[in-house]
Amino acid sequence: MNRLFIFLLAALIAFLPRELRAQSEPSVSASVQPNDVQVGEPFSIQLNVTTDASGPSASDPRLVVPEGLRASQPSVATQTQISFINGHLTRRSGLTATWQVVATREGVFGIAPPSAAWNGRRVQGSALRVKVHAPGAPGSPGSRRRAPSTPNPFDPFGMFPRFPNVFDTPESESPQPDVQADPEIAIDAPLDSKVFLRSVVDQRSPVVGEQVTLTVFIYQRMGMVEYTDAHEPSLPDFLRRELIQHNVEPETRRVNINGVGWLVKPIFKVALFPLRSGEIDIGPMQLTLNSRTLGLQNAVRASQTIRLRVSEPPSSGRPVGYQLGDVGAYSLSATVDPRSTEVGGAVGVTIVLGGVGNVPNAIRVPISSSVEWLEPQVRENIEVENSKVRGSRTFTYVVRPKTAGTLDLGAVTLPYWNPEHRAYETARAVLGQLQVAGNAAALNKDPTVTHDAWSALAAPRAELRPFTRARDPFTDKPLYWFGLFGLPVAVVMGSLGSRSMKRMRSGIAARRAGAERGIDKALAEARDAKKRGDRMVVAASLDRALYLAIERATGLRARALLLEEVPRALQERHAPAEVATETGQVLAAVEAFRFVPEGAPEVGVLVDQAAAVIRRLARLSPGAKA
Amino acid sequence: MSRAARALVSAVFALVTIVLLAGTAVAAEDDATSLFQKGVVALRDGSLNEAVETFEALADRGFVHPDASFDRALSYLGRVRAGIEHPGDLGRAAAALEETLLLRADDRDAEMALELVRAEVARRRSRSGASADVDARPTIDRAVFGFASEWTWSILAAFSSLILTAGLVLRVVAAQMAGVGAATRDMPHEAAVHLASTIAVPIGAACLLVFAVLAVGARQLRMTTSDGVVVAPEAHLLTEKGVLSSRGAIPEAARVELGEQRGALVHVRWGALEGWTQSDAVRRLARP
Repeated sequence: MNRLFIFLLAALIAFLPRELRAQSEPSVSASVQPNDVQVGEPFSIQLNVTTDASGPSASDPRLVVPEGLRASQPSVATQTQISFINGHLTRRSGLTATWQVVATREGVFGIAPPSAAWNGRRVQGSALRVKVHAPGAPGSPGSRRRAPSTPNPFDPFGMFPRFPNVFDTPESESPQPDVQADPEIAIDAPLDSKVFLRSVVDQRSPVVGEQVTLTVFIYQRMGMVEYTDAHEPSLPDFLRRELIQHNVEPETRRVNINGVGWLVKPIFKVALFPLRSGEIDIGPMQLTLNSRTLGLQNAVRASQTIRLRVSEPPSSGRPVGYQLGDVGAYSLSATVDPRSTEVGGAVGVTIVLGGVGNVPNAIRVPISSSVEWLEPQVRENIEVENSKVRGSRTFTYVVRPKTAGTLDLGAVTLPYWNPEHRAYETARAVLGQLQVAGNAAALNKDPTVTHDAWSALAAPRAELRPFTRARDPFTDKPLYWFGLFGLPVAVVMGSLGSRSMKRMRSGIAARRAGAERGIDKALAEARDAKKRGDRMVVAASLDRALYLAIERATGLRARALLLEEVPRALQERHAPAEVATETGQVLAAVEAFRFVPEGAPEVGVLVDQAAAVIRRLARLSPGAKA
Repeated sequence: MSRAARALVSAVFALVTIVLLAGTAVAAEDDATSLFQKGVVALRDGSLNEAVETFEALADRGFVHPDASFDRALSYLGRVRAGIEHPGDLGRAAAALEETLLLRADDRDAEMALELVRAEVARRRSRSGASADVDARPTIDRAVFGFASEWTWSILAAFSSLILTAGLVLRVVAAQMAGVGAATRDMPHEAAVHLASTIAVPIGAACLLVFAVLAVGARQLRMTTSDGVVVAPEAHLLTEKGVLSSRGAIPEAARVELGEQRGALVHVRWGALEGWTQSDAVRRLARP
C-alpha cells in the first residue's frame, strides 16, 4: 500500500507543469565579465536571482573572493516583470547584485558561487573562474573591450539591470559602442548609490602659467535633480576663465558603471592657470540637491579635492627676458604706419600678440634714445576653442621720433615656454625702419619733446675742491678692542686679585694664631698635669708644644726625624746653633722623662726649660723659616 | 770707509729717496689734475665720448675725488641727453653720482642729479612694461647696522666701556669704604658711592654689549661687502652655476650690495632679491 502511494506521488510530481515548479524555486545565475583580465584591470561579477513575485523576494547578496582578488561593495538593483504568454500571466521579481573586482596578482582564480538570502535560506549561483595575466603580458586582454550587454527593448538607456532569460539574446562577439569608453567620465565604481559629484582635471603636473582644465560632473541614476546653494571650488592660487557659457546647456552623457546606467553632466568647467609653483589644492565643489524620484531632500554632495604639483619651466636654456607664467604658443605681428615722419611727429605702431594660452598682458618694446614710446592702448580678444583658452592682445603705441634720419625701430620679442614642444620659444616681430625728417618748429611746439629734464643738472666742476677724507674707523685697530674690554676686565681682575691676597693673608695669620694657641694650650696642660703628678701627660704635652714651636718657627715638621737629627735640621734652616742644640737637649730630656723616670730632671725644671726653648724659638727671625 | 762716512752716505741716500718719492707723488698728482682738466675741457666742448674716456682713465688710475666723479656722471648724462647714449650709461652716471655722495655726503647737486637719473630709469621701465622700482629697501642687517655709522657705534661702545669701568672702580671703592666705615663708623659718602656703582655697572655692561655688537656687525659688513650700482639695462639674477634664475632682475642704476666674487660672477643683494650676476653688470663704488 505504502509503495503504491509513493509511486503515485512521484508520478504526480513528474507530470506537473514546469512553470508550476519554477514558481516554487528561484532562478539563480552568476557570471563574471570578462573572465580573462590583467592584474589591476577591474572586472565584474554579477548575481541574478529571479523569483515569483507572489513569493518571498531575494535579499542580502554575498560574494566571497579568494586571496589575490579585492571586491567592492555590491551594487544592488531590484525589478519586477510582468509577461503574458499564451494566455498565461506571469509576474516575476528579480535581484541583481554586481561586484567590481580587481586582481592584485596573476593566476587562475576559482571564485565561490555568489549567494543571496531567499525564503529563510541562501540560494547560490554557479562557481566562477577568472584568469589573471601579468600587466602587459603578450596575449593578455588589456586592450580588449568588454562585450556590451544585449539591448533591452524596455530599457534603451541601460538604466535597469539586466534580467536573464527574458529579453536576452545570445551575446554577440561583434564590437558595439561602449559608453564606458569615455575616459573623462568613466569610473570603476559609483561614489554614491543615487547621485554624486566628481572633479576631473586634464593634467596634474602643469608648469606655472600652463592651462589646467577643471570639470566638475554630476552623476545621477535617473530622474530630475534640482540643485541649490552651489559652492564653487576654492581656487586662490589660479587665474581662471569660465569654459561653460551661461546661455548654453551642457550636454548630458550616459555612462555604464558596473553595468548600471548613469547620467553625467558637467556643471562647472574652468580653465585654470597656476600662479605659483608647489603643491596647490583645488578645493571641492558642494551642492545641495533635491530629487523626488531619487528621494533626495536637501542632500549635500561634494566633489573631491584635487592636488596639483606645479613646477616652473626648466631654468636651463631659459632665455633672457622670460617672465614666469608666459606659457603657451604665441606669435607676434607688428605694423608701423606711417613709415616716414618728422622729428616730433606721431607714428602708430600696432603689435598683435596672439596664440593659445593665457595671453601675456605686457610686451617689451625696444627702448632707444631716438624715439619715445607713449603709453599703449590695449585691446583683448580672448575666446575658448576646444576647451583651450586662446586669443590675442593688441597693443597700439604712439611713437615719437626725437632725432632725424633713418631710425631702426628694432624688434619686439616675447620669450615663452611651449608646453607641447617642451621647449622655450620666442615670438618676434621686426618693426623695421623709420624715415624721420628734421622739424625744428615741431620740436618747439610739442612740450613732450622739448621738455628736457636734464636741464636741471648742475654745471661741470672745473676744479677739484677739497673734501674731507674719511679716516679708518677705530674698529680696525686692535688696541681699540683691547681697551674696550680690557679696562673693565682689568678692574675686575684687580679687585679679585686684591680679595684673594687678603684672603690668603688672613688665612696665614689664622693658621699662625692657631699654632700659638696650640703651644699655649699644650704648655697649660703640662702645668696642670704637673700639679696632678701625671707624668705621662706632662711629657706628652711638652712634646707637642715643642714640636709645634719648631714648626711655627722654622716650618720643619720635626716629628718625622730622629731626635739626634733635629738640631742639625734646625741649623740647616738657619736657626742659631745654640737654639738648635738647646731644643734637641730639651726634646731628649722630655723623652727621657717619659720613658726613664729614674735619671730624668724634675718635672718643674723640665716644664720651665721647655717654656724657655719655646720662647727662644718664637723669637727666631722670619729668615729662619725660609 | 770710516763710520762717519758710512753714516753720511746713508743719510744722503735716504734724503734722495724721500725727494724722489715725493717728486713722484707730486708728479702723479699733477698728472691726475691735468687729466681732470682735460676731461673738463672735453665736457665743456661737447666732446662727450672723449670726456667719458678721460674721466674713466682718471678713475682707473685710482684717483678718487667727488668732483671728478661728478664730472664723470655729467659726461655720461651728456651722452644720454645728446641721444648718443650707450647701453648702461644711466647706470654708470648713477654709479659716479653715488661715488660723489659717498665722498661728500652733502653734495646737493649730485643728490639731485641722482634723483633725475633714477626717475629716467623708472620712466623707461614703466614704458616697457617692467616694474618702475629702482630703489629697494635695505636688508634687515644693513638697516640695523647702518642706522648709524661704524664710527658712531665704536665711540658709543668706548663710552659704555668707560661707564662700566668707572662703575666697577666705584664698587671696589665702596667695598673698601664699607670696610673702613665698619671699623670707624664714620663714612658719610659710602651710600652715594655704592648707589653710583650700582647704577653704572649694569647700564655700562648692557650698553657695551649692544654697541660692541653693532660695531662688530658694521665692521663685518664693511669688510665683507661693498656698494655697487647696476650699469647694465638689467642685471639678471643667476644661480651659483651661472644659470638664469626666475627670481627676476635688478634694474639699471639700482644701488646694490656686492659680496663674494667667483670668476665672472658676483653675489648681489638688492632689497629682498639676492643672487649672482655677471660682474660687468655692476660697478663697484670707490671707497673714500
